[in-house]
Amino acid sequence: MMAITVKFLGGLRQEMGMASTTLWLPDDATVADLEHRLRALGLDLDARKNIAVLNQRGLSQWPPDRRLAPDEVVMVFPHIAGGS
Amino acid sequence: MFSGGYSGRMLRINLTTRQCSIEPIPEEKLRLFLGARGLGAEWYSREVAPQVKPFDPENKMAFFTGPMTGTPLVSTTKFELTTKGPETGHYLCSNSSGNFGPRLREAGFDGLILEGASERWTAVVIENEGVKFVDDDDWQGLAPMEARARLLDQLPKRPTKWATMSIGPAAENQVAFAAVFVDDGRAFGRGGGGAVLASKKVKALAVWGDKSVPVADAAKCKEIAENARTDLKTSRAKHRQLGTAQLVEPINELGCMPTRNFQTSWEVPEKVQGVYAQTLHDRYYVRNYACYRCIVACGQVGEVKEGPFAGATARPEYESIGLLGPSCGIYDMAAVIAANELCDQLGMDTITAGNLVAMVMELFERGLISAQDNEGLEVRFGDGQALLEMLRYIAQRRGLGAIIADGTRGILQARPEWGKFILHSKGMTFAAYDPRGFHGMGLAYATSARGACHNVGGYTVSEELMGKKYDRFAVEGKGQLVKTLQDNRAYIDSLGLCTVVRGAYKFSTTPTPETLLAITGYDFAPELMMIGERISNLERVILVREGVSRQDDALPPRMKEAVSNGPVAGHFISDQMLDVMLDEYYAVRGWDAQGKPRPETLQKLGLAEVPAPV
Repeated sequence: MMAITVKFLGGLRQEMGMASTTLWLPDDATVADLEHRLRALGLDLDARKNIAVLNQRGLSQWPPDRRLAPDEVVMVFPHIAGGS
Repeated sequence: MFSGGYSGRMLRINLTTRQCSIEPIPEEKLRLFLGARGLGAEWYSREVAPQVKPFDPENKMAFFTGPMTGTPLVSTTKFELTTKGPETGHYLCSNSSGNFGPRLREAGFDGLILEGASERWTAVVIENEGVKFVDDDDWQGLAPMEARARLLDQLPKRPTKWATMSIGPAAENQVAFAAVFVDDGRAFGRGGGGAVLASKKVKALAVWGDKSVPVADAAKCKEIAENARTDLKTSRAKHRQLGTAQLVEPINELGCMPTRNFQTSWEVPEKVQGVYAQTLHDRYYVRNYACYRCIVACGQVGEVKEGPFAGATARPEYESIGLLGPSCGIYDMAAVIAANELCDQLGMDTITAGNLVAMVMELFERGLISAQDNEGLEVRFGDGQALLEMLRYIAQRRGLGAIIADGTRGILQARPEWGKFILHSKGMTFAAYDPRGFHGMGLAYATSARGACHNVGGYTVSEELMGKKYDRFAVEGKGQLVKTLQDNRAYIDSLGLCTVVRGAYKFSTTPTPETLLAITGYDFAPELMMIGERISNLERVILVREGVSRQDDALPPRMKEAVSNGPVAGHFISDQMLDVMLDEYYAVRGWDAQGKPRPETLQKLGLAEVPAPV
């Protein structure tokens, strides 16, 4: 098993009640497995509600079958644009 | 053509002669340019000549509403200022919330034009078709909110509140980035519209009317409003809880936070959390602030209760936090609130003020200037008190503030050697995103119609993280992305609707018809993206007339330097990379290699004949 850290940023920290959590995934887990587990946490990754970023790149931009590496970090934050 | 959405009238006030006239707005113009930003660009193209300078009496100001402004739907608060702005010396469009737009429509007008200049300091009061002037030389020196209060004290009570616009001392001193404040807290922040209003000796305006804003199908509007309320309660819930300040954390974690005048783009989170949204909420939050008919109420009013900044109250948005905070090396939310409040009192744009104080801080850090150059004041990164003092110096044109007050263009003229420390495009300073972390944002800044702006230029952040074909560090594909976002934004800015809620009305790149059909009786949906494209092209025609070409679609030298630390360490945007993006952008826009719209492009958009103003 390998540990993937999930960091909740912005309002998601409040909503999830924690700043981060650790997901334990099989050694051969892929990006698709990670996305499945994030959704299982109750995270809405659709409808432009939240943005998930794995290793500094949008989660949806990685090939779904890309194998995860141990100790990778995924950040999730609300879809919000800045004011001026 | 239209059975609602417009009165089809605009009010013109000549401040020199104090004559007023009511003029029709032809339906065809409304169909082609929709409203607000679109109508402003169309008007500017006819009435503001290229050779006119921002503070000339010949410069004019237009305030146009959109078909949604003031209608019974949610968040229909927006209206647009169009003028020649002192920050860039070119066409300026600026968008604000507040009650003024809706009240102007209740007075019976879709737009207001100010031309000429008053001899004495005055306030303009519009009540339905009546216009009067309140001359008062004691207006001078008042903060925008003080001027507003003083004017309101002199106005008769009406069943609903008067709406106001006002300016502060920075505008009176012709600071190139002075803002126009709307009611008690919204603003036309960017570009220096406040200084233009001051050049006309108008300290404030007030408007009230007793008319209903016309809509084609009132029952359908009510239904759409109810659905939007239901949608926004869940879809924008976090926006309501914590506001745009939530961006501080992810933007820093993604390595795109302006840090110490963009010398880098990341700082350790333990330090940055001092200016997180959660910190604002836990330690300083007092209440939410809502604009006209908005249930999101995303404004987070914060008050400092103790310490050196005790008593300060402001509503810091992400941009203000980024530029007055990390870009100035400041990670104390109390100092940011105090600086934000002071900018509001002086009447200055927080984004450019923060950028230019950060530049001064870097000049001190590099030993290129000393306290002797600045009336004894040292301004160092991380020093909140010095930040406040420098903001006062700028507004009062004291010390180095005498140069900084003239904005990028003035600084480049007086001290060209400081140019490499100013982060700007076409004279307007960067918003709080370092494009070395999202290269599409660099193209957005470079090509935005009003200089470096994340809104008018195109907010690429989400697409560069979520779009399958947009690697944030790639340059390919960014031309199409930025064009699409700019055109989308151009029509949204023309609706009279806050962009935060656009999703609730399906105003995407593939909009649905029902909302505008219910308001105007006309199906705009199939034309909206083309209206956006028409506006973008007309704005470019204006800029080309004013001398803008490819060499002005540029990024500052710092973007060529690799980021030194954090998640985007090693990334930069070279001239060649920008050229690739510009070539693609010009090609998808139908512009030539110098960034001039081709005749066939203008023909396609119905812009073949754009007569130059006399």
